[in-house]
Amino acid sequence: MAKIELQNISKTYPREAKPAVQDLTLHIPDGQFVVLLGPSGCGKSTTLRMIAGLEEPDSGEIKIGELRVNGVPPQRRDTAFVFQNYALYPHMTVAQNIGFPLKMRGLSAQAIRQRAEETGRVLGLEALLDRYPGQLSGGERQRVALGRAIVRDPAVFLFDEPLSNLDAQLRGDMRVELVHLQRRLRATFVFVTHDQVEAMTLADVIAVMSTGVLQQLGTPEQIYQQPVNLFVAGFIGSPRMNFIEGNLIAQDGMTFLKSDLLELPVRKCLPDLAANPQARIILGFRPEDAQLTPTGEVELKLELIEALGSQKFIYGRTSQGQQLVVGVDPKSHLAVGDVVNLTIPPDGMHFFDAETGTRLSRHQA
Amino acid sequence: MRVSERRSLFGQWWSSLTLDIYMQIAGIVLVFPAIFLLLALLIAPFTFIIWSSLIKKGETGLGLANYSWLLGRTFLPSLKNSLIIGVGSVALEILAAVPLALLLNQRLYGRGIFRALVTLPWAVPTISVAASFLWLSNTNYGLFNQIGLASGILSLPLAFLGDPKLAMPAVIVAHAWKGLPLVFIIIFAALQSLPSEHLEAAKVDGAWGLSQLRYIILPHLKTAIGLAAVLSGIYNFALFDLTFLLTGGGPSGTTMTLPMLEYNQMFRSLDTGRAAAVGLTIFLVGVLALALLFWLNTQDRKKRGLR
Repeated sequence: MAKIELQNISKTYPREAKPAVQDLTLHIPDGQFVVLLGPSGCGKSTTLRMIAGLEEPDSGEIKIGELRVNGVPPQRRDTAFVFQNYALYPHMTVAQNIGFPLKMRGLSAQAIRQRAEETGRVLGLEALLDRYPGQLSGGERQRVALGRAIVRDPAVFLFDEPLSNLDAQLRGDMRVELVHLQRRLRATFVFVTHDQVEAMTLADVIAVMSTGVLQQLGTPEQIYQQPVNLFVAGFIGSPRMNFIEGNLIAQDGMTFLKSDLLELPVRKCLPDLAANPQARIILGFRPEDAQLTPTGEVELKLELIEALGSQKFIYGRTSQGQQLVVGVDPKSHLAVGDVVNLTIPPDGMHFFDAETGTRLSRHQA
Repeated sequence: MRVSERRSLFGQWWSSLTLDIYMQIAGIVLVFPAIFLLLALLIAPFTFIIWSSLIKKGETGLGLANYSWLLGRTFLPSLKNSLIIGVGSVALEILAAVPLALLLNQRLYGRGIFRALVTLPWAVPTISVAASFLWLSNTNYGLFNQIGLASGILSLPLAFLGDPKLAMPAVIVAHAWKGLPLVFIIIFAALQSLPSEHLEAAKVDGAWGLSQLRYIILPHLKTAIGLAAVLSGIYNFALFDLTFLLTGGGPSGTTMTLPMLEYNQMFRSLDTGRAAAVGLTIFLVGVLALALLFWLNTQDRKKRGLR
């Protein structure tokens, strides 16, 4: 059980121009389930590997608990690492795999077997203890990898996309199990994924990363409802947020967003923004926040309908050609070619600076 | 119809054959060269050797006289020598190849050149290997003696290939040098197929240095080491020219190997039957070694639930 502190961490791999991680500062409190989320190549795995000691940062400080671990080899950091492809030792049985960290600590064969059996029982592997990894299914291998991690009771658990090789059903089950496991162990979990659903369901705190830089740190709700910049807004949520670029113009006591393709009244008054008609801004709204109403101010001609069962999304274009996605009642009867009117409630509007991409207003949901 | 047009080009009686039958005939015709080569180069000589081995020199009837001769005092020492060379050189090769493979698998400057250098002996003809080894081990001006004398390890120069006690170790070293590339390449390839996650997982689990080697790397290399050992062992066991060129079987028969014995029976004693019996024994030892290897591998894979 330990907190993790990353202070101004930077890392550039040899022979690569761009840094993998850039001046990252991240404090992970003890006992939290933290998910590092971002597209591939954003530096999340590198960050995790630096915590484990599999990579050394070029600069900055890493602390696990109160201990500064820069330069400390992985085996002395008291972390457990679960790999994407499990990294089970193929020549060892399940029990030997689980017991390996204990064997390296010099425990007696009897004690190792006993602990491996206990761990196997926790994870439902009792019947498989004397099998080899080659005889197990993907989900069972994943469990063994988990067992090898929890058997030593480490200060910190590190997960590098451990669920991405499982099928959808199993992934869902394992997510639930992981959350239970973390609650029970009350250990610090750091979990890397590019899957936002995984991040939203697992995390106490999500750290969104892009191009080696931490973009936002917050609870899943904060990340979803108040993305701090265009990247986070666009990365979280599926289908992704609609973005409309334009100027804010005050007219007749109303504020309008005027773009080449759309003119939209912004009912939530933003006087300070409207004061500068030169400023380019980007309005974002999530598909599921827009509402279809007969009096809606935007007319949309439908081009594609995506019915997902519990949800339905319509893809369409305004008469000037602005493409939009809107979530609708899954039971609604709409057809390609229909024209609908939609309105965007003020609460669902996010404003970003078009140049810097940072959020301009903070609606409290 | 395209097919019937093409068929009519041939006119004659075969125009009535269907395309299927054409293809079958073509297949049989095309397979002939391969069958012929197999018969001419493999099956016929092999049958001939078995047949020759059953005929005693100067007689015409078939019998097992040549095989009962194998149990005598000429054959068994040679078998022992060949086994010592095969096992000894392979042991040396593996002892050298595993550390070399581990070293050249690291991120080293110029490792490409070193990898090429290690594999070089394979490309060198045996006669060149033997000639260099003869020079290196020469009693008067050889490098081994020079180094030994200069460093004070030796007080007198040694006749490496002339001394009955030293000839066998020297021949073993020469075989190992020549056979190292094969063993190195097999082990190196296996080492490169070791997923880096396994080593990383082992590090996090607390294994590094020697314990990593013992618990992760060597078990991973086990199959490759077995394969390399058997392949290289059979090769060195049956290698004729290197011993022939270095010692000719001497001094006083201490390095007389089975291939050397076969050569002597064939071309010195002109005894085809005994030569054939010796040759078949060499073949049999190789087959047995391979069979043992495959059996062990199959057992291991079965145990781990692999096909």
